[in-house]
Amino acid sequence: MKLREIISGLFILVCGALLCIRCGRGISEEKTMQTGRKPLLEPDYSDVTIPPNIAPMNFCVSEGKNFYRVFAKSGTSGYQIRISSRNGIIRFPGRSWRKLLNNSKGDKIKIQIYSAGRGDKTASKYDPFYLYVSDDPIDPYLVYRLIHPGYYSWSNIRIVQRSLESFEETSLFENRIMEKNCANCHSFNNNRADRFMIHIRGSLGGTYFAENGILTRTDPKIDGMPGSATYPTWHPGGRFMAFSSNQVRQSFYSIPEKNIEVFDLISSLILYDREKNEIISITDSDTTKYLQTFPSWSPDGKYLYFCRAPKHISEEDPELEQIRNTHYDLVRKSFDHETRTFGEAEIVFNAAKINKSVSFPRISPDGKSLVITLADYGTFPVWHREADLYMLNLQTGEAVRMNVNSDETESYHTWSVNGRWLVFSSRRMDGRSGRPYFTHIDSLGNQGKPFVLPQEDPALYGRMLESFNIPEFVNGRIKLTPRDFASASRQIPLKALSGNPPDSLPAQAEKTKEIPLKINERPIHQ
Amino acid sequence: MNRTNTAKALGGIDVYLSLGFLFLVAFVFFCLPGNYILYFQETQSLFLFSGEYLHPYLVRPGGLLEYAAKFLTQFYADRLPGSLILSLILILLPVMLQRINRRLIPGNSYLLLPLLIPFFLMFLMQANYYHMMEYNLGFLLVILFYLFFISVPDRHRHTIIIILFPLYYYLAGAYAFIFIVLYIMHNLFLEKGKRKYLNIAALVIIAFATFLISWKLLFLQPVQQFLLFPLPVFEDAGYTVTFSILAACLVFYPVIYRYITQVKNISLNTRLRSYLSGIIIFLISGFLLFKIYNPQTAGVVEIERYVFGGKYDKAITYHEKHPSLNLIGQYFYNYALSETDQLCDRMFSGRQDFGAGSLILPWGDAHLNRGSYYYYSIGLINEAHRWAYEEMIVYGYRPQNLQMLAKTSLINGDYRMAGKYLGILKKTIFYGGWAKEYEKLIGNPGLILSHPELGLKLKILPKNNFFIQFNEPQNNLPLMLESQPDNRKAFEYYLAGLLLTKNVELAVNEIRKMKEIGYTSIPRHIEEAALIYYNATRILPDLGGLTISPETQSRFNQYFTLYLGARLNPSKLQETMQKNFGNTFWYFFHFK
Repeated sequence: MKLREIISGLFILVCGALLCIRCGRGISEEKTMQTGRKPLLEPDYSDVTIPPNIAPMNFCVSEGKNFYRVFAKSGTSGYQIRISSRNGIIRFPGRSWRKLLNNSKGDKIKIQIYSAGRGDKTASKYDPFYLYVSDDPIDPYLVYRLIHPGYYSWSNIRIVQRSLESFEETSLFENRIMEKNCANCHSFNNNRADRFMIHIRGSLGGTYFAENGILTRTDPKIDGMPGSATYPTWHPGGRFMAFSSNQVRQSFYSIPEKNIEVFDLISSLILYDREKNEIISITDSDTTKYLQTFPSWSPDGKYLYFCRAPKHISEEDPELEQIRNTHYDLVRKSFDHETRTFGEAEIVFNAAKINKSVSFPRISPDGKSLVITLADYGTFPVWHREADLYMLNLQTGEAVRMNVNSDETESYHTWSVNGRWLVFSSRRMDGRSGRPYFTHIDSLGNQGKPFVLPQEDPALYGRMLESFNIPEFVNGRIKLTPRDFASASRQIPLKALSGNPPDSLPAQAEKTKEIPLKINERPIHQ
Repeated sequence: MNRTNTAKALGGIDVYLSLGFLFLVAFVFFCLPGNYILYFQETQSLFLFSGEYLHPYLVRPGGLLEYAAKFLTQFYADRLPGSLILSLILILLPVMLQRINRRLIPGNSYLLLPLLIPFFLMFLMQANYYHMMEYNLGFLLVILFYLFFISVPDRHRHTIIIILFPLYYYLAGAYAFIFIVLYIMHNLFLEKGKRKYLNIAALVIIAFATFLISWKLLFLQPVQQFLLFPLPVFEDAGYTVTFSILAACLVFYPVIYRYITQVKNISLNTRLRSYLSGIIIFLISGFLLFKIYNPQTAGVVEIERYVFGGKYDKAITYHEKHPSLNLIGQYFYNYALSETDQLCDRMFSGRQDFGAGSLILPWGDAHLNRGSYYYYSIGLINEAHRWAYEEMIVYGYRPQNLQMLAKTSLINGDYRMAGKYLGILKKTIFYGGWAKEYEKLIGNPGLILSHPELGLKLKILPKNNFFIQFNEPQNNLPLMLESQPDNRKAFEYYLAGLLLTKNVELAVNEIRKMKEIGYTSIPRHIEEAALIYYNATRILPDLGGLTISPETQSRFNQYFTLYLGARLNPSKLQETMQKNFGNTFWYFFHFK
C-alpha cells in the first residue's frame, strides 16, 4: 500500500471520529425540548427495583430517532455514566455499571434520555425514570430450559445456567449430544449448585442426580406408577424427594383465543428416599378419587404441599367440559422423616370455591408466604392466558393477587435463597414465549415492579422464539457440563425399589393403570 | 504423447470449449426439466442474513461449508440464477482438475476424459433431489486444497498442509478425510524417498489429534457429526455407489492421470479420441440421467411449486394434464380446487387414487411440511398453525412454514408472533418483499378482513370451541360445520370425502342444506351423485330448493346409454367409459 493511501485512510478515520464526537456533543441542556413523557423502552425497565448485583440493564430506546444520549446517575454519590447510541441500543459497560450499582445500593439510579433526529436543531428530552437498587442481593445464577413453546415435537433442548451478575451463559445440558432426548424438570436442593437433578426422557432417559460434581443416573419408576416421576421437589434435608407421577395428555383447541390444554388423567404423589433408593406411594385414606400433583416442601420439611382436585375427567372419554370443571385446591400433609409417613390431607386454599385452580405452590424460605399460580381451571396454567400469581399468607390464609401480573400467563415462579426475590416466567412480551421476570419482595410482602432478565443485546427478546422454561435460582456456578451428562448417560440406571408395604401395590397398580390414548389426545413429547 | 503434434493433439481451446458445452448442458437441464430439484432444495431451508443464523454453523467442523451451501441454495428460488450458480459449481470441478493437470504434468495437461468422468458423476448425483449443494462444495474443497498443496513449492508443501489441516478440517468437515486419502495416494505414488511415509504419518496423526480435540474439547456435537458431517447419508444405493466412485476418482485422480500420461505410444489426447470418448461418456450419462429422472417426482414438486406460489389454476391444469400418481400431488390438486371453490365441481377431472386419503394427510413426520394446507383451507387455523409450527421445530425455518405461521398468526390476531415470523422472513433475499407486504396487516383487523386470502379465512374461523381430532382428522369437518354452517370449504371437503368413499346416500342428503349455505346451483359432482342415487332408489333426494341442471341430466343419459352399449364388450368397457366420462363421479363410482 502506498503512503498516500495510508494517509488518506487515516484522514478519513480521524474525520469520522471527529464527526462522531461532534454529533455526541450536539445535545446540551440549552438545546433540548421537554417531551413531557417517559421514553419508549424495550424491555421496560422504568422504575423497576433491581438487586445490587444484577448484570447491566441494557435496553433499547424505541423512539425512531438517529441519535440517543443516556445519562445514568447514582442518586446520592453523583457517579454518572454517559452513553451515546445511534440505533437506540443502550449497553452499559460492565465495570462502570458495577460501580454505578455499588454507589446506588439502597438508593436509586436516575436515567435521563435525550434523542435527536437527523437535522434536528433541538433534542428531545424525556422524563427521567429510575432504577431502584435494593440492598438485597439476588442469587448469582439462574438455570432454565431453552425450548420452543411448541406442541408435540421438539428438536434442540438446552438447560442453561446464566449468571445474573453478568451475561455469561453456559449450557448445563444439551440434547444434541444426548440422542435428542427430551430434558424437562430440573430441581435444586435449597438452590444449591452442587445438588440438583434433571429428568431426561428417551433412549438415555432417567433421573440424573448431581451431588458434589458426581452424576448418578437413576430410574425412579416402579411398577404401579401411572407415569414416570415428574414435578420434583427436594426435601430441605436432601434425603427425600417428592414427585408426582402423572398420565398427562394434551389436546388442541379450535378457536384462536386458546391453543393447548394439558391435563392429567391420573396423577398421584410419590416419595423417593435417596438414601435407601426406595419409592413410596403417598396414599390417602380418603375414598374420593383425586388428582394430586405439583408437590412442594415447606422450608422446615415438616409439610408437603400439593395441588389436588376430585377426579372428574373420564379416562375413557375426556371431554372439554370435564376439564373445565376440574379445579385444584392447595392441600398439605404433615411429614415425619423418621418414619417416612404422612399425615392426613388438609386444605390450605380452597380454590374450587372461587372457581379457580391452583398450580405450582412455592413457599418462601421464611415459611410465611406461599406463591401459587391461579388459573380458571385445569392443571397446566402455562397455556392459560388468565393464569396469574397469587401470594398466600400462610399465617392468615389470605390470598392476594400479586401486582406483578400481566394480561398474559404468569407461572413457574421460584424464590431466591434470601426470600427477597421471586423469579417467574411470563408470556407478556409476545403471548407465547416465556421470559424470566424478577420482582423484589420486601419484608411486608410488597412487590417491586418486575423486570425481565437483562441481556447483552436488549433486542434479543424481540426476535427470539424460544421460551425460558422453569427458571430456578442457584447459589453458584454449576461445574458440570453437557459432556458430563453424556458420560453419565452410559451408566446403567440405578433402578429404584419399592418401599411400599407389600399389600399396597395391587390396589395402587389398579388405580394407576396405563390408559390408552384417545383420538383427540397426545401425550406430552411422546 | 508428442506435444509437438499440434494438428492432432487436443489443446486448451478444445478443453475449454468442451467445458463450455457441458456448462450449457447443465444449465439447460437444471433450468428446465431438472429445475424441480432446485425448487425442492430451496424449500428445505431458509438462509438468513443474521449472526444468530450463522452461529450454529460456526460451532461444528464443516458448518461453514454448509453455510456457504445454504447461501448459494437460496438463489434456487429463482430459476435462472439458481441454474446458473449450480452449473457454475458443477463445472468448477473439471476446471480445477484441469489446473491440477497443468501442475502435475505441465506439458501434457489436455486430457478430456479424466475431466469428464468426475463432472458427469457429480451431475448424476445432482439429479437426485436430496443431493444438496454442500456435497458439491465438499468435493470442490477437496480438490481446491489438493491444488493448493501441489501449487506450493516442494520444500514447504507438506509442512504447510500439515499445519493447515486443522483449519481445513474445520472448514470441510468429513470431506477432509477424503483429502487425507488423496494425500496418501499422492505420497505413495507421486513422491519419492522414504520421507513420504513420514509425511503420511504426520498428517494422519495431526488429523487424529484434530478429530479428538474437536470432539472432546472444542465442539459440542455427537461423535458421528465429526466423522460424517457434511457427507450425504441417505439410503439410495445408486447414489451411494455414484458418490463412492466420484470419491475414488478424485482420490486416485493424480495417480491415474500421471500413469495415463506416462504410457507411451498411446495418444489418448488426440482430438478424435478425446471427442469420441467424450461423446461416449456424454451418451452414457444422458442415458443414466434419463433413468434417474422421475417425471412423477418432478410433477409433484411442480404442483407444490404452483400451490406455494398461490397459482392454483396452474396447479389444477398441471395435474389434469400430467396426472400425478402420488398422494401428495393429488392432495395438492384437491387443495388447489378447494381454494378456488371447485372441489365438488372438478375433483374427478384429475386423478383420484387414494380415496379420501388425498384430501387430508395423516399426522406424522412424513407429511409434516404439507399437512397444514388442508386445515388452512377449511379455516381450522389453529391446526394449520400447529402443523407449520411442528414443521419449524423438526426441520427448522423454511419459507413455507414461516409464511404459514405468519398468515395463521395474522388471522388469529396474534400480531406479536406474526411480527416475529415476518421479521425472520425479512432477513432473506427472496421472501423479504412478501414479509413487508404482510407486515402492513399487523394490528389492522380491517385490512386483514379485506385481504383476498386472509379475509376469507377470518370469516370461516370456527366459532365454537372444541378439541381438534387429529388422529381422525375428517371428524373435524362435522364439528367445523356445526360451528360455522356456511363454511363452504369445510362443507365441500366433507362432501368430497363422502364421494371419495362412495358414500352416496350421505352425500346427497347434504344437498338440502346447500341453498341455506348460499349455493345457487349444486356442484357438478354432487349432481352426479344425486343421479346415481336416483337411478338406484328411484327417489330424488331433497334438493332443498335447488335443481339438477339439464346439462348434467343429459350427460347422465348419455353415460347410461354408453354404459349399456359398452357393456357388450367388457374388455373395452372401462376404457370407453373413461375416455368419455373419466372426469365424472359416475366413472369413479363404477370403475374405481
